[in-house]
Amino acid sequence: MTLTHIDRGDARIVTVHAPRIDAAMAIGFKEEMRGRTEDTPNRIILDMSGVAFIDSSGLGAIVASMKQLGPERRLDLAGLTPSVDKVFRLTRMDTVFRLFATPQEALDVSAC
Amino acid sequence: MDCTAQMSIAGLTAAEGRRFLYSGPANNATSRHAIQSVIAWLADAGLAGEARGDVEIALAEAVNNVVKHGYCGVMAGRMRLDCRLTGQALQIDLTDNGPGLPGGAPPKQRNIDLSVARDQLPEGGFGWLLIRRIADEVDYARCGESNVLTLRFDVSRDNAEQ
Repeated sequence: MTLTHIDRGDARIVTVHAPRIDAAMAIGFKEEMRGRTEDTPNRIILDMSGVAFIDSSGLGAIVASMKQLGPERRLDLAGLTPSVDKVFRLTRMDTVFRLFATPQEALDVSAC
Repeated sequence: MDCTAQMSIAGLTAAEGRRFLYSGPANNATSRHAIQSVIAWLADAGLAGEARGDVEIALAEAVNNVVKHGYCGVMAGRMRLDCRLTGQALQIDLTDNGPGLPGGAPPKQRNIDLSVARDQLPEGGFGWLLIRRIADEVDYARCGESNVLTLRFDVSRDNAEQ
């Protein structure tokens, strides 16, 4: 599991460089996210465009990563591929996270 | 459903449609390989991408349940995937030798309450919801020392990808 990040203003774009976030990867993802978001400003935008598949463990790890940020910061998602988008829609987690087509679209929207 | 009826539920013979069998240990690494083998077989059989994606989601959840709960930490667990495809349906029978499902049946689909405060959001419990939302039929039987979970998907092979 590799995550990279760049900062843009008050947002940090974290890119996931793994084709799957599943049961085997979920704990590692959560821990890496914790490390990369400890000292960040208001917003994390998670670029998921490289991820072709998540299962419920992967979804849970993303929810856990959001909860790790605490009430003052938000986690937005960008670039969900069709199968990943479907998991969010079927579980109605698309009502909990803001989903954007690209990180740039997410940046163009205000942080609130 | 009784166990003898279960194997003939699709009425498939070797002559109609295609069949894929996988049998192996039930752990995270092997299960990922097993699922991807099934999906590759479906691609080869001409099943469209979105349908394959749906099957992958439901199958991954079912297999994860076997790996996570089926053996309670015992390393020697095995599982078997018996996949049969016709022009109308895909049927997958997942067999394992772990403990039976609590209550003798899969959990009924339930809505997940997402109206809670952010720090109360669930991080799990989505698996059966995803299975039931995607598979057209879900059946379960405890046969001796085995569990057989049957997932059935209506498919249309007219949607074959180029």
